[in-house]
Amino acid sequence: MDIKKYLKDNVMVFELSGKLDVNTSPAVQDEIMVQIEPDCRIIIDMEKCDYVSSAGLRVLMIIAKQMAKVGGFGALVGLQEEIKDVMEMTGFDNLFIIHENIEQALVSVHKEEAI
Amino acid sequence: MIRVDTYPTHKYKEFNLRSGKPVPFGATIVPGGINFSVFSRHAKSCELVLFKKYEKEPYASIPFPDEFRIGNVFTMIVFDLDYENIEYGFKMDGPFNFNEGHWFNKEKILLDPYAKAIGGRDEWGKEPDWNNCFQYRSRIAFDDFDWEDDRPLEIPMRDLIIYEMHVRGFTRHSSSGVKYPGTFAAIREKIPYLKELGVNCVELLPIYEFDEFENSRISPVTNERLYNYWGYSTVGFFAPKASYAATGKYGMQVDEFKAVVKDFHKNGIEVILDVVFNHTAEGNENGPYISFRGIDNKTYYMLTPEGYYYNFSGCGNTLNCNNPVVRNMILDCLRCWAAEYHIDGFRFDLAAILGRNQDGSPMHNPPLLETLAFDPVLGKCKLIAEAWDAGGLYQVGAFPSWGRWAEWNGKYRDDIRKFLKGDEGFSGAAAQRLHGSPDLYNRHYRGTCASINFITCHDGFTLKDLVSYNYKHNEANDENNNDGSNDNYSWNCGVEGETDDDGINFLRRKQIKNAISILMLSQGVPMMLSGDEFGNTQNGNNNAYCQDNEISWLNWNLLNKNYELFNYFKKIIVFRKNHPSIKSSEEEDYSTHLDNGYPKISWHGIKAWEADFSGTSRLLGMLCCGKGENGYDFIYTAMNMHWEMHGFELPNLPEGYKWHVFANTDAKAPNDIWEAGKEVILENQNQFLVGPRSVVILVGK
Repeated sequence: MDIKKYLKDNVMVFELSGKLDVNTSPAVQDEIMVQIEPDCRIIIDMEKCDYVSSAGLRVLMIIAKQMAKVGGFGALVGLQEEIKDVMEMTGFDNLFIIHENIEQALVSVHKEEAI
Repeated sequence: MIRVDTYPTHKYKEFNLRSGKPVPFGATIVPGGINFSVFSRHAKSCELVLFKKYEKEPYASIPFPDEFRIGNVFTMIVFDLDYENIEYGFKMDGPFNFNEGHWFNKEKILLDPYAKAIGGRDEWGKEPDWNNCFQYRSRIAFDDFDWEDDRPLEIPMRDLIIYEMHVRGFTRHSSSGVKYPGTFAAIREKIPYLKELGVNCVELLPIYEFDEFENSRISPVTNERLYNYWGYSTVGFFAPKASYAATGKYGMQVDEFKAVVKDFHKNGIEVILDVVFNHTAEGNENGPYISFRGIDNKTYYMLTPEGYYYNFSGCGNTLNCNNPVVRNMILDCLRCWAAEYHIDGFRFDLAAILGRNQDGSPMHNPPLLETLAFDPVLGKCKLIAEAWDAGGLYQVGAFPSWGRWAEWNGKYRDDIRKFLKGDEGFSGAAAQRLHGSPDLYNRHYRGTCASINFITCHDGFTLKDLVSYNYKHNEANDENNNDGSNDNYSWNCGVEGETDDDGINFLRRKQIKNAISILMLSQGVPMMLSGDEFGNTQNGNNNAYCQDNEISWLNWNLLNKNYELFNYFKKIIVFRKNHPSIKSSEEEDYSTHLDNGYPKISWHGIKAWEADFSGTSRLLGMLCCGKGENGYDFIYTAMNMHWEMHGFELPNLPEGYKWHVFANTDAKAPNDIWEAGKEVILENQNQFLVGPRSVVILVGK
């Protein structure tokens, strides 16, 4: 698992590549959680993430819940079909705004700001 | 604040331990670790065996220190476990003495009876590694599902319309058009369909973890593998079947099933589980060690004085339900499903067993049934008994109820089937059944809602087969057609099985419509079998418990082909919803007449007000009268189960009211049933000629 992060239009983008599973999810959680603060804007780009285990899903959930708690805005981008399905089937999808690509996600995250 | 009790006090090898909490049983996430707790009255010692997920050999085995045992409970907290990634079991040491009922074997790794998630069998039908000594692995489940505003719907019993279905069979067929056929998730895709049909409750055949390979074999007739497909044989009472979940391979069956329940509730549909507490998957003396047998055989099973298993279930063993420990396990289990899964109710398989004493004798006031009736957590759950068992205890109408328990009314099924096929002399019985079986369920004590009315269920012919076969055709089950009931009270309408004969096919469709009309016009709670609404067939197999194939899977192509049936079902269900007078009477209102002088329900024959309950009668007229928002509501149903046409004199209506036709099963579609509110006024208000084997429903307005 490789975690790249960069700023785009004032939004922190985390680009994950590889497997998000029980071995790699703690690092992802540590890396992202410290960035969550009131009014933060975060996008998690998972286009290069080809596997998400239940542990990985739970990390995403913890991130989403923390985001909602402190009042930040986040979106997921580039989920592979099976992962998207798993999130939908297990009811995790309502925790995240899911977008096809970074551009859409940026628009939506900024929209939140306007509200 | 960091709590002091989050620090370990003991050490075993690299593991940090602390004495645990004896309750709740099972594995519970606590600060810093997992609290393990397991009961055994007769074990001398116990070990916790830990596995990395999917690995064959355990990576650790931790004995419960003797000072951690409290009473008959072994309990400890193990700190710093990667609980997302482990599976566990127990090893119990104790006496092995058949006559005493003790089966301890310290070599066997046992499933936690309280495991809330079970791994090891994540894909349906994938043949397991039989050399693996630990097939069913306890896992630690999270209870962090986001239910938002959901909770059980608490639909009143009188408004309930139950749809009985098999999770896998519902969508496994290629015609179902869903993404992940045969799974919990697939059911969600069909919710709009169920809403259109109009049912407001689904009753799922067993979803607790079970072993589809139990008694599995290849049928010499079809060369196909036979499975334990229905799943009436529990491995773990607290865990949903992993392979029913599309996400089972991710170990996310708990979340997937919760998402289904939540979605059902959002759409106004309740979820009832068919629960099997009468026996377990461990079978008889030759069965495997899975859990209970090795944990405390003598407590969990009913044993003969010589140590053999009593077999009141017909499945090898009998769970010792009225042992106080087992009773509590059942209670804990149901509470878990009600609280953690928001389940709306339970249907208890072979529930008469739950009323048997530890020696097998029927009890007067079985404590288990009483406990469930009054339990606070289950307080609003529906409790439905299959009020008989395989040991000959038949309690339909007499199941101990405390005003809480409803029953599958087997008498309803049999009497209506006989009436429907034209047996003479069943008009009186049909009237009782339509009336909510007051002969079985005392109106003042239990009320009509104690009666779950059904004509078909998973066990027996489908409705289509009920009108297509005189005899069962279970050859594919590999039991020489000896299995399954012989008392089907079915009639094939002239030819055994499929036919091109238009006349016969018309009659069959008519009989299906007659059946659903009677069911939906009966007081009590109607339950229909899934697929009956589009004429699903099992080709005459009336016991498809082992058929994981096209015999038992719903063929959705039939929905198009038989849309006429679906349309009829849909409209008759709406009709029931729109006319409270044909549902159960208000339980608090025992009056028999309305202020206009009409009885709420009255019986008629060829002549109005003169029902023929004689031994040769095949005719019955029923007039239901209620008070609607816009005045009185009259519904007259003429049931002619004779093979000849008969004129029914219509009861008089008050000034200003006229009879209108809502349904006439003798008419060709689309004139067989009308939209609510668009019923057609009758030219002749005095008499209706009811076709042979037909039901006519009129509304007076």
